[in-house]
Amino acid sequence: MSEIAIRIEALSRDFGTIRAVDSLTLEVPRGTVFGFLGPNGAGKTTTIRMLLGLLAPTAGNATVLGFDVRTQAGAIRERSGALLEHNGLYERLNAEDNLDFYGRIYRMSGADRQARIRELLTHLSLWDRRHELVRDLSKGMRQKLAVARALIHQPPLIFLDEPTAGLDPVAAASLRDDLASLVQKEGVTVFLNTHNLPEAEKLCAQVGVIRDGKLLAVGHPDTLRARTEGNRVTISGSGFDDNILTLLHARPGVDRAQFVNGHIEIGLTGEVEVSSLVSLIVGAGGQIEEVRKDKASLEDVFLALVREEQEVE
Amino acid sequence: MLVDIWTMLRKELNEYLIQGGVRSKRSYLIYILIFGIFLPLQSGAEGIRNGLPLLFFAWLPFLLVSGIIADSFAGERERHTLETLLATRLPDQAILFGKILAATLYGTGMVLVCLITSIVAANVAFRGEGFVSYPPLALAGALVGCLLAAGLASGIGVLVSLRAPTARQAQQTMSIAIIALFLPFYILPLLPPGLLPPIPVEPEAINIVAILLAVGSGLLVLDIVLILVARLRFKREQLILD
Repeated sequence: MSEIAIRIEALSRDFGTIRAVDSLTLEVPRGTVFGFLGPNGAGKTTTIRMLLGLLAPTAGNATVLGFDVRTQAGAIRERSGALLEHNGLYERLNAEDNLDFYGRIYRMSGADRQARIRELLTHLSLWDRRHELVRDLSKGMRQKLAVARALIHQPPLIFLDEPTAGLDPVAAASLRDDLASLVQKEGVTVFLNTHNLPEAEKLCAQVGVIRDGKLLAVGHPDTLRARTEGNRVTISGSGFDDNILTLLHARPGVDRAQFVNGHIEIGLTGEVEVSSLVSLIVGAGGQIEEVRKDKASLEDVFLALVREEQEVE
Repeated sequence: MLVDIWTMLRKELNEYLIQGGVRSKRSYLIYILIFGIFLPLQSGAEGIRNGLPLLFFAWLPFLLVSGIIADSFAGERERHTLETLLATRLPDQAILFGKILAATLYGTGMVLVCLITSIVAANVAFRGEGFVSYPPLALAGALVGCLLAAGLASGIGVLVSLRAPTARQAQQTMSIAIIALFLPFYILPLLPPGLLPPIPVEPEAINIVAILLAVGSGLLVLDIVLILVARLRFKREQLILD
């Protein structure tokens, strides 16, 4: 069995004159959580639809679990689960009947269905709500139920398209925790579409950044951070003025300097001694109370990649 | 394949019947009250023995089926459940035939319930006049006819629903299609006698059984053609892009 769950080679998809996905090439190893990062309209959903064999690629090839997306879509869908753009739950049915229907679709026996439904709903703290109609559940609960549905037949691969979109921060965090523990427990490969960078940071071993259908970068979040060489220094204190910002901007290795909530936030692109920046600020009349050095977030990485792409264009 | 069709059919019936909420249960009751009690009793015991109320049942499958079959794909699309369903292992035929069969069985089943109710109601209302029931042959013919009519309504409905953006639009298109289907029966009697072709034989010589068989065969062929066309128009990619 191949160690690669998803192999994509120069995959493209056009809608009329618009190229939604443009020569996408990447590999997703088995057993990993792969985050596909990008803004709305970047081509993430179209990619998932092609990988599930729901849309035919205009050009290029892709195999999922060793099956060709063009000719063996049925085999792919048999072995994968999906939580797509919408949760896809039947609101007129209760939580248990929704899972039971999907268990039947995957030809699970009655006993297996019952055991699996109990296991998943208990894990997601929904067992006591199993007889409630889906329309009566909160949005967060519905998303959890949709995750359970994607996993009902214990597939080796699941596709998740923006699973926390539209959830309040508490519900989103709860779903992320549940996803992380379920993924670890089940050992499943996950292809996660998201534009939520903290979500990708928390869940993904590998991320790919896509914009306007083009893959900008792919790798471990730490590798991508290193690639942008991005570090951030936040300096708190008083007596800061525009002159200090001008001096900071003039220093080699300083990518940006700006006021954020009364602090100075400095983006570094090279090896810069923070002590020299402190001396510069103090010399210009600033009074420093605290200096904090942060690693670049995926958001910084994403913005840097977009900037790079725009410069190339 | 049969297991997959059964899975789909079971889910559809579950949605129609068990979990449809108070509103749908109320509508079943209204159908049973009108078609199972009110209209048959209006015909009297003799009318029932002649099979007269069975004519009312010609409409019933269309009324029952059109409301739900229009929802089959358009409703799933509107409620955002269609793409998830299409992303499963279920074959195209299982999804399509499951939905058509569910609507057909629902329509025929409701007709059967109304027929049984009407016989019970007639025997309660006209007690003392002996056992009141429809002629057995007419009853069997009505059931087969209703099954074929439900199949016809399902076939038309699924074709409309496959491409309609919303369930409401699908229902409107479906209503127009059904009116168009029945329009000749209303227009022909209104035409001046000279415009109608003469009936070549005496009315007594008309073979009702042969006519019913011909109509039934025609309906069956129409059902099959509609299902085949729906099968050709069922394209996952198109359904998602629509």
